[in-house]
Amino acid sequence: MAVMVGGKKVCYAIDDDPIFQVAFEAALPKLGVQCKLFQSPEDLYEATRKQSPDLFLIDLNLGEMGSGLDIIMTLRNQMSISAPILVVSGDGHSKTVAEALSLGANDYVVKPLDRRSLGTKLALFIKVPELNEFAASYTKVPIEKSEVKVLINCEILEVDELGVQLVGRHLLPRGMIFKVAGAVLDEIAGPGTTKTVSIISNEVAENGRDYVAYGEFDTDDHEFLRALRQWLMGIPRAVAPPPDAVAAPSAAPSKTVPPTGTTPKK
Amino acid sequence: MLSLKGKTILIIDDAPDIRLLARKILEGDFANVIDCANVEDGLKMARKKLPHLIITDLIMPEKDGFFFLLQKSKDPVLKNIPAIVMSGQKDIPSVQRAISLSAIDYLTKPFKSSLMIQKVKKALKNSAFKSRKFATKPRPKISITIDGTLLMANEAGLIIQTQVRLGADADLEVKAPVIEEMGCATTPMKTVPTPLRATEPGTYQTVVSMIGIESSKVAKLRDLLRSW
Repeated sequence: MAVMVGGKKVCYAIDDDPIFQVAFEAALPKLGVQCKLFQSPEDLYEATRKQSPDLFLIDLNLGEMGSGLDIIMTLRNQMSISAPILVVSGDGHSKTVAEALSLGANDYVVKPLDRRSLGTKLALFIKVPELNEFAASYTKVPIEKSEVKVLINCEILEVDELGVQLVGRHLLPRGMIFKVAGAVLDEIAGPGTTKTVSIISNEVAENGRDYVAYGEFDTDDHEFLRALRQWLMGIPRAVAPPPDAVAAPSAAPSKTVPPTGTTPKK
Repeated sequence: MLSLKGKTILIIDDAPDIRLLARKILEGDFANVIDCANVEDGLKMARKKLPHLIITDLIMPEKDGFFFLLQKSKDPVLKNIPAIVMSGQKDIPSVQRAISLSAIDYLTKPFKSSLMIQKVKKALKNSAFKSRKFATKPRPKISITIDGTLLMANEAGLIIQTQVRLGADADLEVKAPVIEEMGCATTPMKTVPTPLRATEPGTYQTVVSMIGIESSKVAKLRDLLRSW
């Protein structure tokens, strides 16, 4: 349960830069968010144990205070805190951003930033009326530019001779047909394989948060289904020799690619 | 089993009219049918196509159906694929010999199409191809491409509409010329924890955060958005 101070949302912030400490304390109340600044990770953990905030603002390079990445890891892994974590850092390198996200940060803003940038990001996670005054408003995208492809990820639970059972956060509607790709398909039918699946069933997963769906491959794609059966039996996939080797009379025999992953269940 | 859709069945018979008849019957139930006129070709085809089921005649010139069943039972790849014998031989020793050589059923010529379908479906109840499970993490990922409409954008996020209800805090990529125009083609993106509600049945609006955008890019984005 997040703490509410005077009806306001509460944010816990940790940043070794005095300029940002002052900026957070001054700016956040005007954005409708109560800010509590912490001088050490331990103080932050202690306060969080007592009451989790609505949002964390965490700098990454905290000088003598340590590393923001360690704080993210502790909050997520050791304390199992689910409140959103927004990283505010001067390090905009894509590797650092990816690392922070992989450890459990929800978002990342790069310093320097103005009040509008901060307010716009906060508005994604905290709903208070004051934020709307400072957050950048949305601009309608011209209709001719609006068509997009969205790539989402699911995990594979099981592959059988006709399709694949998936688990993920997204609810894939029954009857819809999607293009799918990934390492398992590459292993089955060669690099760059893209296939379609038709969603036959979907249900809430055991954890109550995710969804499990079964997607059936195109049943008329006999060549792929044959390759799938071969993969299920653990038979290495034959790789066609290069064109010059085919033409040569002493062409080397076809190479094979051993299947990886788990051994087929007997 | 409602139909034979998605099932590949190999027929081995030297009589073209029988092959054609069996093909018509099985294709009528949406099976994928392949056929061969002799045992040698049948063995090659079985190894190449890995059918779900093999239906073989017994009496054929050169190698016969018994030879085929024997070879199949010795083959590490083919031994788990079920085989049904389809033959005019009705004598008990032939049937017993075929069964002993791993045939799982026997269809006597002439036969009714309904009986053939019934025996084929029974033979296919337990697949020779065991599924592969990924019970523990990390499980392999699969990427799914869905069509969407980019409704709105600001310097920090996008509002997209899709027919898939996107979960919160999930990584995703949005691909379109307009995303490149915004300079965000390689920007990491995530759905934010609070999705918007559906606007009409079957469509969902989701807020997507663009992550780690530097101030110089923010300024360019503001200019671009103003120009729309």
